[in-house]
Amino acid sequence: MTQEFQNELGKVHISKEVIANIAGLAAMECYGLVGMASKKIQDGLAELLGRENLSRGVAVNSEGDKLVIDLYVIVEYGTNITEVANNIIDKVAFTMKNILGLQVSKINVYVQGVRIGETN
Amino acid sequence: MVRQTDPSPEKKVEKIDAPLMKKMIVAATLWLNENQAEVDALNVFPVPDGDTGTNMYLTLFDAAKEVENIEENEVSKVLDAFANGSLMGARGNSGVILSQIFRGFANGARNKKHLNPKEFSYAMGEAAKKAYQAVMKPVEGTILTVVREAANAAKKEAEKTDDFRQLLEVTLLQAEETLEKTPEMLKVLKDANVVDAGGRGFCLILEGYLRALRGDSTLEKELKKVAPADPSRSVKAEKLEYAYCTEFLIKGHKINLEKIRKYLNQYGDSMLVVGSTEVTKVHIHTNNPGKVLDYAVQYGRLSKVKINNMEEQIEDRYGSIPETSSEEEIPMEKAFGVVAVVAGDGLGDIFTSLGADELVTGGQSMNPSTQDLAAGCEKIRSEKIIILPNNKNVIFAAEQVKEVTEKEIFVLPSTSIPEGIAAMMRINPEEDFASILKEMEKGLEEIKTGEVTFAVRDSTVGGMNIKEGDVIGLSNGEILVSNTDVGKVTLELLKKMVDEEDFLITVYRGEKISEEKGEEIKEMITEEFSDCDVEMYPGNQPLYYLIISVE
Repeated sequence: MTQEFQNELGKVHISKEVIANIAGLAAMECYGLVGMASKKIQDGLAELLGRENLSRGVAVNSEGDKLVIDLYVIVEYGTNITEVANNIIDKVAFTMKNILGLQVSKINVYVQGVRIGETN
Repeated sequence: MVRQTDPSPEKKVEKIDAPLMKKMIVAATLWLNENQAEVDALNVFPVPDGDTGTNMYLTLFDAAKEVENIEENEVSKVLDAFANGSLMGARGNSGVILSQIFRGFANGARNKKHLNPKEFSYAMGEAAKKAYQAVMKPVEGTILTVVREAANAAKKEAEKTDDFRQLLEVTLLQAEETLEKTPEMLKVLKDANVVDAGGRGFCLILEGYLRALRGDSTLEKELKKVAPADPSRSVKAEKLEYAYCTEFLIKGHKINLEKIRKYLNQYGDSMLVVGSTEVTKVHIHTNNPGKVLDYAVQYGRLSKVKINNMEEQIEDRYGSIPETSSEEEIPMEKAFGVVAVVAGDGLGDIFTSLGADELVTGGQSMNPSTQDLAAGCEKIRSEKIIILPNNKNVIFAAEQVKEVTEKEIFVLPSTSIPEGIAAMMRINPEEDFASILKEMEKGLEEIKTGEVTFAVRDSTVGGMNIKEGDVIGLSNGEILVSNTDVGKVTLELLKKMVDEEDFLITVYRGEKISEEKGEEIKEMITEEFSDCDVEMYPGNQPLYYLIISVE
């Protein structure tokens, strides 16, 4: 399913894949986030995904005309995780509005793992 | 011997010990506080609403508070407390980055009683490394670049000097030089014609350190004098049930922990009785520390007895505790109350005349705290309160009020003054509360908001070149027009906003627009839009020349 707009000349469709990619890129600009995690939680493994895979850590759902984005992320150990998650939500909401003109009704951040960096 | 804690300008500073480090941290916090507004203004969007400076300051304040409260004479312990405080207090992206920088610095200074220049520069290198580690794609031209270059400069200089003043001077110079180059590295900065705000904040911290080393006495105030008014920390100072935190060890033998627990339970709460039958630790919040000690002493010798008055601690943090007042006579309660956030006495009068019970001052770039809003709610004699934030940046603080009050709070997410006024106009006291809310919500949607203000700096938006001080016209938060004349901008803006179905244009004139100028503009609008009624009211709002609603 796609997100749609209409003006007097025609329709614009934006695919979920595009929304997911942009949301993933926006989230990755946030400080403290070090990776996206596979959303297949049943794997039991929060695998770190590379950039080419970034939409895999993002789930986009629309309920009616409402857009809900779920982000599965891995955060650096030693950062304030709630604050990092808040920053991600703000950043993704802002980017969706700014780039796609989409009003997101909900953004959920699932912290699937922490990475412990070399200097800890 | 050089006295480390009192560096005078002529003397070299060869090492940083715990008291000096503390002093430097406090100085940096105060220095950032003084320059916070300047950092906030380095926003990449030409409407006054930045917050990087505020976020960095709040983070640093929490960190410094942690440092102020410890009695340690090892610099590594001070830095640990600093890093922990910044972790807990991190606000926004810039705050999280700062906390990583301080953590890296603390790691680099591990186990050090004091620091010499080489050790300091090593720690800075660790700080830069740590800062780069926690982000997927580090962006150059930000605080990260500034920290890295500063650390490199510090490393080189530490080979040449044993004087910290020299070291920090060179480090700061490099940081500032790198900061100046940030617009070349990052296009958004260049477009907005600013340097990176986070980087500027970091330079201010370094400068604060240096000022402390040079003995700048203006930065030796106590921190609590500059305590920020902070929405997320708006804990109400409440009368505590138990005032004394009492803690001690009992050294004896065959101590019956269970029995002690049962007995002491009657004297207070937050009780903890742990340890062995030989050494037992007791912690309890109580109003009778004497009785607790009296009882415990029969089990053995008491040691490390510590009794703190928690009310004093709370007063230190949040101001004085309200005396529990006797119940006043409460007059008839209203069915519901309305708290509106406004700036400008004219707009305030309008809201009051429409039935708002309490006004809280605020608006663009002067957001009220949750505490201010909660105080407004508490004043109204009603259990149901509707809050009109009238600005998108206030909505969150308004939502937070739910956490700090027992009243039922309804936040109507109005993002502008006209939306708030439209919502107020729809209140029909005859209806029941649910329908009133619904009606008010409808009011939000049926109106278009225009704002005429000025750009705070040069910038490029949507192909328009905007110069600092230019008049800009915004519709629903987006810049649509810019020019040098208020009248022209207003007309252009309205042309883009008004469509065939609109019938009323209401203009609220700001404090900078005189009555005559207002009339002039009103006439121009009336002439151009002959199908609409035009009304003008004195709003006396700051920052915005005009606030316009179209319906």
